[in-house]
Amino acid sequence: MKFSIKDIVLVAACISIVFVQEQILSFLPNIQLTVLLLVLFSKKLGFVKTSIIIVIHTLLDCLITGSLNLYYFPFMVLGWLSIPLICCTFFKKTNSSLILGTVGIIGSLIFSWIFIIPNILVANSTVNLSIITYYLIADLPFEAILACSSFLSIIWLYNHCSKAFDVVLNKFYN
Amino acid sequence: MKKNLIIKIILSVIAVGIIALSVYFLKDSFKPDYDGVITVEVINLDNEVVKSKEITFKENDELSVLIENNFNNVTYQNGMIMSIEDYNTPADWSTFISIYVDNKMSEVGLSDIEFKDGTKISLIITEFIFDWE
Repeated sequence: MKFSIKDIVLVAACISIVFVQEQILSFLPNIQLTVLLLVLFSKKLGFVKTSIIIVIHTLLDCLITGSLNLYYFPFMVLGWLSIPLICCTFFKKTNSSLILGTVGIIGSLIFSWIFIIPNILVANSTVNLSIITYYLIADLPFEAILACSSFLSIIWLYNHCSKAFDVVLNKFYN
Repeated sequence: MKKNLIIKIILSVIAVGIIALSVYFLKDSFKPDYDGVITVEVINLDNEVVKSKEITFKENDELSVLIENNFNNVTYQNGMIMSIEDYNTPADWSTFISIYVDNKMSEVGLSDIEFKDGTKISLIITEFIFDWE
C-alpha cells in the first residue's frame, strides 16, 4: 500500500483531532469522542490508515500519561484496534448509525476488558479468578460510561460527521 | 424515519440514565455508620515513619477528608492522593503513594476503603520499578 503526501497529512490531522478531543475531555471519566472518531475513520479511511492513527495516538497518549511501557501500550493499541477490525470486517457495509452505535458499545467493552489485563498484571504478583472477577466488577461503571457515551455520540453525531468528512475528503483529494 | 428517531430518543434516555447511575456509583464513597479511631501513617522511601496520627472519626466521615484535615499539603487528583506532608508525586511517576490497609496493599482507592475502629492506613512512598520479567 502506497501513501501519498496527502494521505500522510490526512492521517496526521486525524491523529491531532483524536488526541486533542481526548485531552479536552480528560476531566470527564471515560467520556470521550474517541470511539466515534475511530468508527468514522474506519469507515472512511479503511483499516490500515485507522490502525496507524491508533498506534500513534496511543503512543502520544501513553507518553503524556507516563504509561509508555510494555504493560500498557500493547494492550491499549490492541483494545483500540478492535474498533476498526470490527468496522472493516463484520460491519463493512453498514452505515446505519444505530448499528454503528452498537459497534461502539462492543468496541468500548472490548477495549475496557483488554485494558483490565495490564491493570491486573501491574498490581498483583499472582493472578487468579477472584482477582479477575474483582477487577471486572470494579470496572463496570467505567465500562458503562465509555460504552454509553460512545453509543450516544455515534447515534447522534455519526451521520453529520460522515457527511462533513466526505466533503473534506472530496475537497482534499480533488 | 420518525420511528428511527423515536428509537434513538428512547435508547438515548436509557444511555443517559446508565451514565448517571455509573457516575453516582463512582462518586459514592464509603461512609461509616459508626464512630471509632483509625491510625494513619506516612512512610518515606527509606521506610521511616514521617508522621503517624490517631484520628477519631464519626458517622458519615470520609477517609479522604479525614486525611486532608489531619495532614499537611494533602492534594488529590482524579481520586488519587498526589501529595502529603513534604512529598509530592513527581510528573514522571518515578515514585508514588501506595496505600496499605492493616499492612496489606489496598485494592481500592482511599474513598472506597471500608475502615473501622482500629484500622491502620499506611501511605507509603513507593519507587516505581518497571520490571517486565
